[in-house]
Amino acid sequence: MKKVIIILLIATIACAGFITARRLFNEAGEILSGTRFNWYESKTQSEIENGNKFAQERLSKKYHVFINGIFVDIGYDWDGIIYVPIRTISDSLNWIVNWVPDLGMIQLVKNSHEAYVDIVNFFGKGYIPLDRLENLLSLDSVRIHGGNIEIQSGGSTHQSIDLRQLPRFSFYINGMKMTDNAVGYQEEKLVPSRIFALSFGRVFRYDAIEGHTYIDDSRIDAMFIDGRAYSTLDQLKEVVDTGGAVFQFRGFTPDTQPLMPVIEKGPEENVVALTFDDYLGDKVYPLLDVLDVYNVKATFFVIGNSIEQNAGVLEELVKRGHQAANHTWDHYNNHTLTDDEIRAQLISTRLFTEKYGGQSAPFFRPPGGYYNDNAVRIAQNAGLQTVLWSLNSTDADPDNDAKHIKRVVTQWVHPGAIATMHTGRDTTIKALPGIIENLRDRGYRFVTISEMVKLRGGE
Amino acid sequence: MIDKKMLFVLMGLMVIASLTACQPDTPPVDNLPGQPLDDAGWKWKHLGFTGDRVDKIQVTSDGRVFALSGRKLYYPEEGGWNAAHPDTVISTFYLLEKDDKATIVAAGDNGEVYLYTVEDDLWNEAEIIALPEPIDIITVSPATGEIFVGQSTKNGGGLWKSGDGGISWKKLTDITVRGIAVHPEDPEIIYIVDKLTYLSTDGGKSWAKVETGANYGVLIHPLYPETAYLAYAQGVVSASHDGTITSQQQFYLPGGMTRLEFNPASLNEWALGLWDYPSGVGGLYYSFNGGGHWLEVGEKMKDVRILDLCFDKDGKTLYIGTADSGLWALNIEELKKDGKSSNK
Repeated sequence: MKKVIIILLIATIACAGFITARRLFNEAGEILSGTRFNWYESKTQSEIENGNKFAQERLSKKYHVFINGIFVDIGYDWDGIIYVPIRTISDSLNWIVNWVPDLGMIQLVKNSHEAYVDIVNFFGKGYIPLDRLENLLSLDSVRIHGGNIEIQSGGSTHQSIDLRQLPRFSFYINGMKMTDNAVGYQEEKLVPSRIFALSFGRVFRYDAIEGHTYIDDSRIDAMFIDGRAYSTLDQLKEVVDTGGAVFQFRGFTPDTQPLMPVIEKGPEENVVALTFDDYLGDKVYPLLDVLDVYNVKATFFVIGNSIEQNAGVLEELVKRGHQAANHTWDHYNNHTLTDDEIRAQLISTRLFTEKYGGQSAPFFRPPGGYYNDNAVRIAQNAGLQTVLWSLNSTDADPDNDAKHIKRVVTQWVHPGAIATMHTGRDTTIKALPGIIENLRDRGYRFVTISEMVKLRGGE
Repeated sequence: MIDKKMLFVLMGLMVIASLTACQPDTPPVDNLPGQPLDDAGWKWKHLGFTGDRVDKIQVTSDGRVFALSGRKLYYPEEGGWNAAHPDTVISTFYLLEKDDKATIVAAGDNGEVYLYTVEDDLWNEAEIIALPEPIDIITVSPATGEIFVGQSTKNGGGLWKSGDGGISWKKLTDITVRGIAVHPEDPEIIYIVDKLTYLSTDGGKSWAKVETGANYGVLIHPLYPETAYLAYAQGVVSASHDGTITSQQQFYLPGGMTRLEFNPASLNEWALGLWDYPSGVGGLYYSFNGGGHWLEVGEKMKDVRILDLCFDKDGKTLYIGTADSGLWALNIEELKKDGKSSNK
């Protein structure tokens, strides 16, 4: 028996020693970066997976919010308190909504009334408790039943037609699926007005008091089906500049296409893809200049709503040989959006990228890495393959300086790495020359995501 | 043979350890209700309401704790928690102490106000003409003992004052009210908060808007009453009593505050409950330098949603009401020994 215990002890010590040695070896990333296993890469993957799991759990108790019978947005039960998005609801009730950055509060103004509201910020969208909203806006009544919050305030309830009674179609813009909820009604084909407007980067507003719908400042005729506004293509084209977009109604059929793989990294070759996420702006120019100095081509995942006012930046970016890909229109967490809203986020960004940049790379990076199979399928139906990352440069954290960013990237780079960085940060621009020089010295070649996909075998 | 015995003992210990680890995390009550907390050497004490929410706490000068839980008012009696008038729904309360007697001013769901004399067990409904909806806040002027009642509903509300211990009431304004602060020495200075913050320097006869958006709550530190602190979710704005904003201080914490409380015995010691609703994390934070740096207290309060904070009169014990783990006491002297600091 003693022998058995001694053998077990020796085995345990040996095992612990091996694990410790391996951990120490792994953390010396400079040495290990040429091998298959990379601790930081595993950590990055875990962070994305855990983030998605956590977000889905926190957003699982959801409520569809209707005002006077019309759907406006989605609220959530967080820790027993129902939170609803303040901007869309207040806007529908004709309150002017101003963000006060100094205080991190929202100011609501209507006639002589004024109020300041503390919000809970979730991916750029502000939420407040439903009972606080009820008091602030003096709502006539709030009823919660099933998965809906039905708000009645200052107008009459609109009666909706039941969607199930109507023939359904899928509707496409330039071959990208916008919705499976287009309908036929009295020899007309109708599309959801709000999703159509969002797909062209326009602002849709429902005035719950008057019962009217607007795209930007133009009123548009609509009928209500399942609490959603619907219009004909002709009605929509009157107020939305659709350019040369091609529209198509197709019979509604369930999507059974196999899912394209999500790209997290490239092949086991000494290649690295530098990717830059988020808004276009003047700070992209010095970034492009650094890349030019080293003749490195990168992939930019662009937030669509920054394109129009920075059209020159996008044009320059593409002219210098970089790729402009899709980072959605508003950078919302995909778990907070309906399927059609995700589609509109992707379509609008792609349309604007093609309009101002001439071309759009067929890739989609979900903001924050928040995605699921459903989002991957939706992107696929918009002609986009989902791309994540295997190397987080950590430049999104404002506490990290250029030295830290360079150290993280050069320490944990690995064959086929997709490195995520961000536009609009001086630290990133400062860190970039050192990163490129270091990786080049170690034999790495820089590629775009398109080139990386080709190297992977053209998935 | 001995080795076999050792193995059995070891296996037994492992089984016990596993079973212990599998036990649900329901902390036992460390202190019977009403039992003094004056024994040294402890840091945390669980005071009851295990698994329940405690919305509001107040403590008498001799350490008796009153708590609002499940819309009932509880006070300690014979080693247990006793519900005062258990059939009455209570929305908020305030503890008045006079001549060693504790009187509770409590409010119900229909605009009614009750006066409860604990020692005599007398429960009376006071006359007040508020809207038949919940009262939001009750407070008392430290200088005069006048009782203030605030109400904010979608149909209106206002501020009422009683100068005779709740027998008669006067409505001071129709402005809806969720928060009140009365200057500890000058009873003419009153702040009220709901959609905006208003200041009266004439005891409530007239009101002027304080030009700030901070409307989360208002506090005046009893040791430094020259300044009012107007809270917003991420910090405080300080104002002088002519309504001038003197500074703005952001806390840079990962979430929004659920509650802020000043230690009455120390000017720069502040306690704060923090919660980030989308991520469901937060807890208790403590500052020793007036909100400049915040210590994440963690431990029993890690990722616990805090609903109310209340110091005892000496500032040595912090009582904590939580959303789902009952009522706790934290020994501030022990917290100071930690010597940790954080500035997230």
